[in-house]
This record gives sequence, C-alpha cells and structure tokens, in this order.
Amino acid sequence: MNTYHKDLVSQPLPLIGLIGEESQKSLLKNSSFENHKFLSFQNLSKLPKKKNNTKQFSESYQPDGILKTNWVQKQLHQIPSVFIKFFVADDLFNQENFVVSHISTLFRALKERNIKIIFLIIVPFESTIANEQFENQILTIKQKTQFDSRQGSFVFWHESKPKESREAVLINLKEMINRHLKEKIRKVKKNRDFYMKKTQASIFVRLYFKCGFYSEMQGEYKASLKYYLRSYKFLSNISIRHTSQTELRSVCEVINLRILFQYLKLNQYSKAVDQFQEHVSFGKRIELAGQDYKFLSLIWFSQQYKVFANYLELVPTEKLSPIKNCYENIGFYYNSAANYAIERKSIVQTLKAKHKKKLSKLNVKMFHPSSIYERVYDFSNCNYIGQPNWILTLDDPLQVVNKQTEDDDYFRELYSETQFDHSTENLHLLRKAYRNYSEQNPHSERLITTIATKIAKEYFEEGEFKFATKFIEHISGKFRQDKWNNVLSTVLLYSLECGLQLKNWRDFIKCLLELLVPKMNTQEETKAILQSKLISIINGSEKEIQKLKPHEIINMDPHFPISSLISCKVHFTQPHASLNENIYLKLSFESNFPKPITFKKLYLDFNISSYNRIIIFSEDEKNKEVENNEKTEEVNTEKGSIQENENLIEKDNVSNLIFNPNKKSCFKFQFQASHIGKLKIRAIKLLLGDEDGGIYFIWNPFEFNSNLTLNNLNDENFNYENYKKNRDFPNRSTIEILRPLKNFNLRIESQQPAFVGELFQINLILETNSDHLMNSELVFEKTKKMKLFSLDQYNSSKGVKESNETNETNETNETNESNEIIDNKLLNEIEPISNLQIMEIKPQIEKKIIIFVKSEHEGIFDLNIKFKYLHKLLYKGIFNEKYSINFTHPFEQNFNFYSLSKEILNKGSLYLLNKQNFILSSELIMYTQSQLILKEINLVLNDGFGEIVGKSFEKIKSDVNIPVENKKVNGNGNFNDSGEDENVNLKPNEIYQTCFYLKPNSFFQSNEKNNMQKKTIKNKRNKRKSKKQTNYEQEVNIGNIIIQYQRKNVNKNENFKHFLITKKILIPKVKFVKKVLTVDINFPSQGRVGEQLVSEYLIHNHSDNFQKVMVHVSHSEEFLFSGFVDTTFQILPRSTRKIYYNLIPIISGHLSLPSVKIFDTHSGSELTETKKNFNIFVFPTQKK
Amino acid sequence: MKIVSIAILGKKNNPLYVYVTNEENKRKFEYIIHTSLDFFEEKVPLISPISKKSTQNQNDMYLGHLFPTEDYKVYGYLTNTNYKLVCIIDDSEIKEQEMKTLLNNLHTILVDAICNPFYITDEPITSKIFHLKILDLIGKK
Repeated sequence: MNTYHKDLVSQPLPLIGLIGEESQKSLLKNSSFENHKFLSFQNLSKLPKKKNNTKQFSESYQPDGILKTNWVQKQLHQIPSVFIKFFVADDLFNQENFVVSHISTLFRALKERNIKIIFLIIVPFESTIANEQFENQILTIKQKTQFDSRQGSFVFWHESKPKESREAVLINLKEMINRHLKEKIRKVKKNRDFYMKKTQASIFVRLYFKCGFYSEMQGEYKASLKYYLRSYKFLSNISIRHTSQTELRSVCEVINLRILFQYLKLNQYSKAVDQFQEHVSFGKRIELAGQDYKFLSLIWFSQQYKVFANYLELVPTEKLSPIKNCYENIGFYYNSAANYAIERKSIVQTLKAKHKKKLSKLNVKMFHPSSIYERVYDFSNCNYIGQPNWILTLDDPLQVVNKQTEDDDYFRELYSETQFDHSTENLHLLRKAYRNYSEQNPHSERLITTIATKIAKEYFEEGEFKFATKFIEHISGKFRQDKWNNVLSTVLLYSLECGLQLKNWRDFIKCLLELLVPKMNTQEETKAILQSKLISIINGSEKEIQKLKPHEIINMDPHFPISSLISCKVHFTQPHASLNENIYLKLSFESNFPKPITFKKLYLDFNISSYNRIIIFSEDEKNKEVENNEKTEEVNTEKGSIQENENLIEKDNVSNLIFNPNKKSCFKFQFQASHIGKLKIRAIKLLLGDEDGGIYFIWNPFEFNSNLTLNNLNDENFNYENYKKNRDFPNRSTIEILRPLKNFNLRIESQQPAFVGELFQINLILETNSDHLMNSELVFEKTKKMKLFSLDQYNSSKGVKESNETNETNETNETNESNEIIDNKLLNEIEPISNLQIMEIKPQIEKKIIIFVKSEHEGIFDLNIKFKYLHKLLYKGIFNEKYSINFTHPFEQNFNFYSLSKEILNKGSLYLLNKQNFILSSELIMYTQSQLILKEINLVLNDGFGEIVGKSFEKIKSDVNIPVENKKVNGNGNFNDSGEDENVNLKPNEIYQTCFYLKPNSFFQSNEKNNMQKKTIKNKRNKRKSKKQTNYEQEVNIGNIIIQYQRKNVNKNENFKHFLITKKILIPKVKFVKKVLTVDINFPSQGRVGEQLVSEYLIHNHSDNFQKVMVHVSHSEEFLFSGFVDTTFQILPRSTRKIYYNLIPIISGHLSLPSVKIFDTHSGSELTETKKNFNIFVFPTQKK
Repeated sequence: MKIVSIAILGKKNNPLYVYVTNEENKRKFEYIIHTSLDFFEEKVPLISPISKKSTQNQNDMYLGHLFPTEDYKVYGYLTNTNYKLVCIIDDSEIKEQEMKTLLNNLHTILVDAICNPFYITDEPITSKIFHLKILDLIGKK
C-alpha cells in the first residue's frame, strides 16, 4: 500500500478552516478533535479562485479528461467544508458594528461557495455578562446581518467549561459538515440532468466519483460504495476513442481502490474479490497495443494483483473462508503478480538491449522507481486525472516532464524501468505466493513446484546458485515422478549450470547424464556437447575441472532415471549344469549415448567370488576399433561375438568396449562349474575413466554394495518391497550347478506301521542307468534294537530254491511266493543279516530286494544303509541312505484274576485257599490300520500249576460288557476244532475278551507248603529292612498266553506280505497270600458308670502248627479293668483261644476302650492293627 | 473462446500429447498443464474405476473449470480409464456446454488413437492423423 499516495489510500476527512488569532485557533487544535482536519486562514484570499460556471458547449459535451486533476487535493487540503471564525465575547458589545460588517462580508463570500461558517464566541473566565444578554445581542446581530441559520451558527466557548464547549462545537461542526456535503452531493446530482449517459459517460464517472467522495467524507460507506460502483460502471462505458488508455487505467485504478476500501470497511470480502476480477478484466480491455509499451501494462497488472493480495492479507483468515472459489488463496494474487513481474522483466531486458544507445545518452532525474501511482502518464497536455499534471500538482520536480516530447517521456520511463531491481521484486512476490500456497493449500504440490521453479530461475539469474540448487533438487523430483521430461530437462539445464558454477562435479555429472537420457527432450546438438564435456571431465582434460575422485557410482537400476542410458541384459545359456561342465554367460549392452562411448573395464560379480572376473579394455586396439566402428558392431551382435569373446576369456582382456548409439554389443563368457549349488550374477559394473577417477555404472548394486541407499530416488511413493523383488536380473541370471548324474539309484518302499514283535517289510528297489550289468553291496549298520532278515536267506534256510530267471521274468510268481506264510520259529533260528550282495543288476530294469526288520522295543529307529555299487569289482560310487522306522505295540493287554469264591482282594492278586479254582480273564485291544485273522489263543501253564478247566472268547463292544459274539474255544485253544469257522476276524479298535478257568493241581498244593516256608525264611532276613512286609505271600508265574494271528492286507498292495505271527504274552505274576492268625472282638455297645462290662477277644489259628501270640493292654484312666496286661501264649493248631477283660467305667460319656494289642510273635505283625480305638457310650450312675 | 492449448495426460500423469497454439509460450503452458494435475486430484477423490463407473454417468467425466490463471482458464476432463484431458482457453466468457462438447469430442479422438494397435500404452501420441484431428477440432486446420 505504500506505493500509493496517502490521499488515495486513507479515508478522506473534511477540512475545517480557522479564521482568527493564533491563540484562539490553538483552543480548538489543543482540544483533540478527532477525524477533523484544521487549516488556518488569515482571510479568504487563500481559497482557490472559483471557476466561471458558464461552460462552453464543447467542453461540457466531451471533457478533456475523466477526473479533474487536483480535485481531490482541493477537497482534502484547500477548500474547507466549514469555517470557524473566532470572536471575543466583549467585542459583540463593544465593537458591534465591526462584528456585523465582518460577519456580513464572510457570509457573502462563503455563500457563493456554499461553505458553512461557525462563529465561535469565546467567553473568558472573568466575563460577567449573563447568557440572556448574549442571546439578545446575537439576535440583534443576526437581524442586522440577515443571518441564514442554514449557512452558519453561533457557538459559545466558555473558558470555564471547556468540555461542554467542545461538545457544542462538535455537534455544530458535524451538522454543518453534513449539511455542506449533502448540498454538494445534491448540486452534483443536479448536474446529471444536463448530460447524456451514453455519450457523456466520462462526466458521469466524475459526478459519481465526487458523490462517492463526499459520502465517504461523511462516513456514509454504503452510500459512497454505491456511488463509486456507479462511477466504475460508467467508466467501463467510456469509448477509448475519446480518452487515452493510460488515463482510463489510472482512473479505474483509483476508483477500484476506493471501492475495495469501502468493501473492506463493510466486511464484504467476497464482493471485493468479484470487483477485483471485474477490474482486471476491464484492465485487459484497455491494454496498450505494441510490444514496446507492453511493459507498462505488465507493471500495471502486477501492481493491481500485488495491491489486492496485500489488501487480502489485512483481512482475517477466518473471514476469507466464505469465499469459495478459485480466487480464495492469497497466493494466487501474489503468483499472478509475480508472473506479470517476470514477464515485465524479460520484456524490459529485451527493450534495454534494443534501445541501448538511446538509453545511455539519456540524462534525467529519476522517477520514483516503484510507484505505479506516479507512473501514470499520458502524452497529451490536460489537467485531468491520469496525466502527470494531476499527480504533480504540488511542487513536484517532475513538472519538467510535461514539457518534454512524447518520445523522451517513453525513454525516460524505460530508463527508470531498467534501473529497477526486478529480481528483488519478483522474488518477494514469488516467496509470498510460495508461502501462502504452502500454508493454505499444501496439497497443491505441483502448483507449489511451479512457483519453486520460478524462484529457482530467479535465483539462478541473480547468480545465487546455492539457493537455486536447493530449489531445483526439490522440484526435479516431482517432475521426474510425473515423467514430465520436457520441463525436467529445462530444470536440469539450470542445475547443470549451477553445478558448474559451484564446482559441484557430482551433481554436475548426474544432471549431465540424466540430460543424455533418450527420453529427455534435450536437443541432439546439446547432447553431443554434453557428452564431449563428460568425456573431457572423466579424462581430466578439462582445465577448470578437477578429475572425478573418488569414483562416482551411478545406479543403473530400472527405477533410477539414468538407467535408460545403457541397458544391460544378462543370462546364462542354460538353466542347469553339472559339476565341471562349461557354462556360458551372455551379456548384452545397448547404449543410448548420443555418441560412441568407450569403457575401460567391465566387472562381473557373482555370489561366489571365485567366479568374479574383470575385463580390461586394451588400449592398443582402440584406434582400430573406433575406425571400424560400425563393422565391428555388426560382428559383435551376430556370429562374431563368440569368436571374439573366446579370445577374451583366454586373455581376460576385451578388445572392444566401445558402445555405439542405439546398437547392441554382445559378449559371451565361458566359466567352468566348480561348485555345487546356485551360481548367481550379482552385479555388473562398467568403468568410465580409469583407476584414478571416473564413473562406475552398476547394475544390481544393492547386492554388490550394501552401503548404497535410495538417496537418489526422489519418488515418495516408492515401494521398496516391490523394488526388492524385482531388483534381481530377470530369469536366467541364475544357474543351478548339480551333482553329476548317478549311475545307480536306490529307492526304499515300505508300508507303515511297524509293530513290536512283528516282521516289518521293506522293499529296496535298485536301478541303474549304466549300459553294463552292475553289482552292489548293501551294508546295514548294526543296531541292538532291530534285527534284519532277508527273504532270500529265509527261503534258503527253508530249503526252497529259487531260480533268478523266474524271479525276474515272472512277477506274479514272486508275489505268490511272497504271500507264503513265514514260519516264525524258523525265523528265530536264522541269523540276522548285516550286509547283502546283489549281483547282476540289469540296466533300466528295477531290481527288488525284500528285507524284514524286527524289533522287540517300542520307538523310532534309524536304518542306515551304506550303498556301494561296483562294476567289474571296481567301486563306481558309494552313498548313504537313512530310513526311520517307528515301532509301536500291536496290542493293549489287560489281565484280571478272579477266585471262584468271588473274593476279589486285589487286581492281579488273589488268595488261593485250598483247592479253589480261579478265573483268569484277559482283555486284548487290537490296533488299527489292519484287520487281524486270529488263528489261535492258547494259555500255556507253567509246570505244576494246574489245568485249564474252561475257556471263553467274546467281543465286547465299547465299555459295556455285553457279549455280542461268543466263540467257543476248545481245550487246546484252537478255534478250528469246533469245525465251523477256521479263523476269527478281529476288527480295529474293538475290545476282545478271553477267559481261562484254571484249577490248581495237587502238585501246586504240595509245593505250596514248601514255597511258604522258603518265603518265611526270606522274610525273616528282610524283617529288619521292612517290618510291614507280610508273611505267607507268594508270587507265582502262571504261564503265557500265546496268540497266533495274521494281518489282513487292507490296501491290497501286493508288494507287502503278512506273515503268521506267534505272539507270546506274559501273564503278570499272581500273588498268593495265606493268613495264619485272625482275631475277632466282642464287646457291648454301651455301659453305665460303675457297672461291669465284658470284652471278649477270640484268636483263631488257621494253620496246622502251634502259633505263639503276645497280648499287650495299655493303661486307661477311664476304666478299671481286670485281666492280663502283658502275656504270651500258644494256640493249638486249627483251634481258637478266648481272652476276657472285665471293665468298669469310671466316668460317663463317649469313651474309648483300653487298647489291646495282639502280636504274632512269629512274624512280629500286629493282628489287631485294623481294630483299634473302639468307643462305647457310658451312661452316668442310675439314681436310686 | 480461443483455445490456446490442448493436452492429454496419461494414467500416471505423464504427458501424452501437448498442443500449444503459440510455440514460444510452450513451456509456460506446460507448467500450467502440470499444475492442473493438482486440481484433477482435488476434484476427483481417490475412488476405484469400478465404483466410479457405477456411481457416475458419462457426463461426470467432465470436471469443468479447474482453475484460473491471470490470463487463461483451464478446463479438465477425466476419462474412465484415468486419462486426463486439459483444455486451456483465453480469459473470455464461454458456455459450459460448448466446452463439454469439445472435450467429449477430444475424448472420442483419443479413444481412436489408443485403439490403434501400433500405439504403445502410456507412450506419447505421435500419430499425425491424431494431430490433424485435434487441429480440426479446435478449428486450426
């Protein structure tokens, strides 16, 4: 806003003229009258002369200009709205005639101009005149002067009452000013009737402007806005034929400014925006023609936008939110202002070059450089707004300009423009735009980028390369991301120059390389120059530029912009190779450099460093190759490549690493596979330059050098995971090196599961690729837990001779034979094998060897086979095979014993008294996977144990003991003896119960005694160790249950056989216990204090011997008793002895009997151990 | 209405075709066209093409006035396949319907060009016939 004159940007205030002595004037000046401007007058001669109202026709019809120059100044600084004339109170009485004549003169003079007057009568402190007297005197004066109260008024200033006096003056002043301005407006409005709206629009502009101005002075903003808008409307109707464009432009600028201020005061911001748009479009309509004058328009537009942006900045941000259109951002106005300013700068530079001579001769006083307000000018002489006269009314040194010719004016303006600091102005505007957009519209990234580009360019032109580089780094990423190569190339050219100026060679090289990329729309000539520059930098031939040290690494990954400069493809010629075989790697480069380019070294990096190779370019042949460039290229790409590169391999030295533009260069390298596994090409490097310095172009660098990061990649949406997946070279950059193919192969087949105690069949299948008959030897590692048997061994021990021919040719025979039941007993007789010799294995025909594994232990065991194959007794190869076998139990066993007397003492134990029979019941739970054919269940008793009286076999479904199917078993345990079914089929997961009824024989009985005695002796020895051990206990092995069964083939896999298996199940030992002494106790359940009770102990001797017993009675305080306290006695065989105790209770209640302990002296065990602490209830003494 | 530039931008915002009546100002227009991408993103929220198809009719592809510059007005049109059509005109008053028709026709021309089996997707359109059609459309032929 500083660019405008303060009269144009501040609110106009009415002027008040003061006539009187200085001391009197100071009364008002010191009384702080706000919003009032005072101007001292000695007399009215200072007022500007009033123009003659008589108008010539030509002038009134079409005035020379739109707004009169100096009019605003006149209103603000020269012509007061109200005069204040000071009188001393005494003068009204003492010098009445003088006062009357003075007032009459002033009245007459000001009436013509319609200026109001206030007569301020100062009443001093010491005045004694009464108010009534004053009023009478004033009435007298008014009558004498023919005073018109509309024209003026009398106001008293009592020095004793300054506040009241001030108020009175203010009220009068306001009334007078309003009256004055209203009359002015009325007068102006009256003039409208004299003019034609269509043809004399410029006069209407002036009239409405005046009205608006007066209203604004009054503080009537709405009214003033209305008048200004009308004025602006008429302005747009003015024909350019009748006035100059610059005048129109300056007038519209002035009016627009006033309108905007009115809107600002009325808080109507969106309307202000609309007005500004209209203003700009009006400005475009009246643009100056001709390129030479264009800069004047640009200045004007730039200024308009800038001023409006400044104006909007004054508005609180929250007030701007209702403005919902594209123009809401202040940045837009700054940006537009900057755009005009940038264009202005470029045009001025062109004009400066064009008129260089003329401008150098020009010797003028400078215009004010940055004020557009003072630049408004026209080349005609007229006292109207829009011309220098209007601006330069008050002693301006530039009045001289009017007298110059048009040409001089133009050059003077151009000269001042050339002296103007455009860059500072442009940067100021751009920075403002950048800041506003960043703050208010952060999502407009591209818009911000565009502004940043302009800032970078300005900095660049100013020579501020560091700042320019910073901005370019920021913006180039966005253009690169959107693939706007045209724009990017322009930006990069700036960056290149910045790098050169700042001697930042790394940035320079990167920019240069990116500019060489084919997609970049750099001119071919420029590209050629750039490449030459690059080569000279690399070679160190550029004087100003230091050699590139250390090496610059350029990532040639497809995601990086430079990657398309040289494309590299690599693949192995085959996907697999055997050890020691030759493998070939093909490499093809396609250069997109504008000119041929020579590399010094080629590095091939593999995942196994022993394969790494460096190919060095031979200097001697360089010239030849360059001369025959095109020829060699053809040779390279076609058949010649192999020959040429075979030489390379020998020398490790390439004769040609020159890549021609848009042509492929192919190489083929030979390697020998020296390891087993994957061979992968990790990275390929090309060196431009030499060991001292240069550039490495690297493909797949992340594998090659983990220190490299993605700094070069400015893409924010970069997906590193995807990148990682794709970063490897495509297919066939990996080769798998395998073992040499085997001549011999061993395969193992089996059918799970394996059961403890059963033969488990394993098929070993041997095959050979050799053309000859092969022999082999299988060596099995010995284990304690497993035994191996071979079918052949079994067969030979059985005496069955098999001919090899039938074995090999007729498979059906083999399977039939294999189904033959193997005799388990026979198997026990033959020895387990530890190795097998297999002779004459025929080529392309599988040889099957059957072995069996048996284990008596549960668990997973490894079968390790060392396999040696030989041809003509010479070992061809050896390898190990490992096979795990899981052995599980085939049955779950559960045994129960019952005596016939149904006295079940303990599970698995029973008392065996005399010749009682007992039942042995066994439960068997079969395992799944296969059904069983049960051939026989038999109980084999140990000698002398007795005989089997009866047997039964039944299936129990689930846990409920309901016999579903009963099977009678004969005395021998064979099912087939019944004559009905030969076998019994057992299904998986079902419970089968078999019972045996045993009768102990006489042999057992006779042995019983001996066994008991033996046990007793043993027990005596162990007595010290365990007192609790009971005598007369005996554990006896009854015998075994032998089951014969065969598994059924469920899967119908005929390769595997199932044999008849004899399973011997040990019956758990049975405990026999015999009791010799027993005690019975009899005693009453209740008693009475003082009355006798009898407790009786009966000791039985069940044995045929004398038994000795010891009795001990403990002391009791609750009873008096008589009988043995401590005694030992013998009991006759098979007799009973009674002991009596007489007890007399002493106290009543629940009492425990005195404890009587009876010991068997033989064994030391207490017979009454389970019969302690008997209680009886004792009543108190009965009352007599 | 005076058309000063026509541009077609690809799915990834890359320029496929830029025509400028005044070649001297080409760079200036390129900046404006590039800036217009911001307004495309602002006007069309990120919705999948399928949902977009179901909810919007064909007319919705026309985005209207994107943004003004000090001298020009920029209009936009987003195809279902995410191609962006930009038309820059001078700062004069125009009828929306005219602009809509113009951009619809431009879309038709673009579809013809893309259907050409020799055209590589997302590469700049260099077809002469396409260029002539554009000139015909804007009345420069």
